[in-house]
Amino acid sequence: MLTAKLEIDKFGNGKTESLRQPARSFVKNFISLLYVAFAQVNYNILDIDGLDRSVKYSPSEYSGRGANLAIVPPGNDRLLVPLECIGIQVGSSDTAVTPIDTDLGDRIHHIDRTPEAANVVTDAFQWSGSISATLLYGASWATAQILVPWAVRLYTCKLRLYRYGTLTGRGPLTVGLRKCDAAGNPVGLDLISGSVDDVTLQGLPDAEPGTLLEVTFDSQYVIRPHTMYALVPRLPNGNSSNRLSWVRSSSSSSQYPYKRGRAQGLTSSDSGASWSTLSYYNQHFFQLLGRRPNGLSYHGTVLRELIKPAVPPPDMQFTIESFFSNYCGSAITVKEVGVYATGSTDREYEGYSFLAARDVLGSPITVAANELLRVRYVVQITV
Amino acid sequence: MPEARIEAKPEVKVIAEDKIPHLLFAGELGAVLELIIKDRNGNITEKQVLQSKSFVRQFMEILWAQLQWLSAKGGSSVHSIDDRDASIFGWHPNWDANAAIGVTTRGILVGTGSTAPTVDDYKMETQIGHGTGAGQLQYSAVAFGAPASDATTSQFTVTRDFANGSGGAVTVREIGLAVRVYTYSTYGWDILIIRDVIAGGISVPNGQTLTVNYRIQAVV
Repeated sequence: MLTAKLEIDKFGNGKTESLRQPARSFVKNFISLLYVAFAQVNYNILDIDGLDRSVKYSPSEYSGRGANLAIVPPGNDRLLVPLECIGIQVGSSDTAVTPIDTDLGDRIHHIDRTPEAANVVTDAFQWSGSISATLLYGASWATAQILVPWAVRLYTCKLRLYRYGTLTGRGPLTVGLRKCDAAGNPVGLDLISGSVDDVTLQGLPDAEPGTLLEVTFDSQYVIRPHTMYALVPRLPNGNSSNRLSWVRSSSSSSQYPYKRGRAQGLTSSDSGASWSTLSYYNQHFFQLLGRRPNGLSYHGTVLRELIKPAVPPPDMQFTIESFFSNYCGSAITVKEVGVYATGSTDREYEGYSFLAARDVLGSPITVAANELLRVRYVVQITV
Repeated sequence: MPEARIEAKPEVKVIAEDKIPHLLFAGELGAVLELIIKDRNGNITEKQVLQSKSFVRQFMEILWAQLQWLSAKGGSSVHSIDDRDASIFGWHPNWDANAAIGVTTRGILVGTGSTAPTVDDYKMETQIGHGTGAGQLQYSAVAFGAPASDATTSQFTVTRDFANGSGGAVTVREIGLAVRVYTYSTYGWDILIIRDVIAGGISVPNGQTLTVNYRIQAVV
């Protein structure tokens, strides 16, 4: 039988606070990753974003694939997820664990500095080559997918737009932020949205290259790295004679103009019910502005040596260990911990994180500024 | 008397949520062992449901290597079922329990040994051979039931049939599970990861079939 113990220690201000409890947390995704390996089949598993991923049973270094079931970053270029998305995780939810959990209840973001006092550009796409534009009116929508390099609390975005015709009485322009499905298409309702009135829209230039129009979201939302989101602007009261044009690259280059999201933008003619990919390497111009959220700095996960105690039980054990520092300047309360493991798909250099284990702490631990948290899973078997 | 014949692969379905057996406690990751005897008409004549107790050290060694993708760090040794030290590399399709018909070094294995398991067991004590000779059973291919879960338990199933055409009863007293792991050069090694001893054994009459299900489970 395999069991695990949780050992959590907080260090700071000359004091140590410790918590010990049994781990009771291997979830269905861990069982599913084992199933892929035992049965040697490809199998669909929900990743930490709840998206269905076909995990390939035979990842191979020779075809650019990464590892399945890894919880420690490999020592070469096969890490296909951000460093903080592998191994031990911490969160702030105390919702009870279920076997079908696919992520922590409320994961604490990896943050290695104090949040900015004002908005900064976190991600953007602009192209110095030839440009074109996608028309926005009525049911004709468009999108740009985004993948940010670190977690950001999104406040506003900017889109490069120009108008055609008269937009007085045709507003508002609404820009939604949506999650993407496994194919990269926007899915679900807006996570947050912002709008711009018709007076402002009428003041936009009426020709290329347009101008960057700032849209402030009604509320803030934290987007995280390695999760694809989409900006979805629409002008439902516009028509083909009174519309907006969203500037985009128009390139035949063999280089992807936007490195992280999808290379091409998408358009929809049915108000986002279905999406079509633009022609080669066309991406819409945008900027994302926001600030880092509060969080903890993830120092990475290591496995300590596998040992056989001289006097069982247990008969064998190893320790999974990770440290977290608070550099954000605000106290962070940890109520849950978990483990992310990797899974690779059939596509080269494509891998995702999957929740392998999750535990709710018996009592929360607050990590004040500049304090250090150590989380250990001690994994044991006893015959 | 007609000879007992095995199917190429036993039928296995995703277990219904209300059929998941519960023998493990919260926090445990282990296996439930089901032993089913069927006569030649497919009627169940005996069924035992037990808690598998015995992950052996190789299970932890493979898990330890796989969790840290040890390929990047030079490999790790694990003792094989044929008594050699094998290197394991994390990028290969390790944990392969998908044995074909007649394969006796991988998948679910059966034997007659009755010595209590220890963590250092790396092979069956006295393995039953594949065939229709005296004391032998016919090993089917291994089949798998996809993951399923209920409110507390998630699981998948590894299953194998053992048909007795030996002409006499065969008593199974030990059951094991072995998987294949791979070296850097993709050479495969078969490794025992579970060994269980069945108190009193289970007798497989001539002409009947033993189905063994290992239900690998985790309970929250």
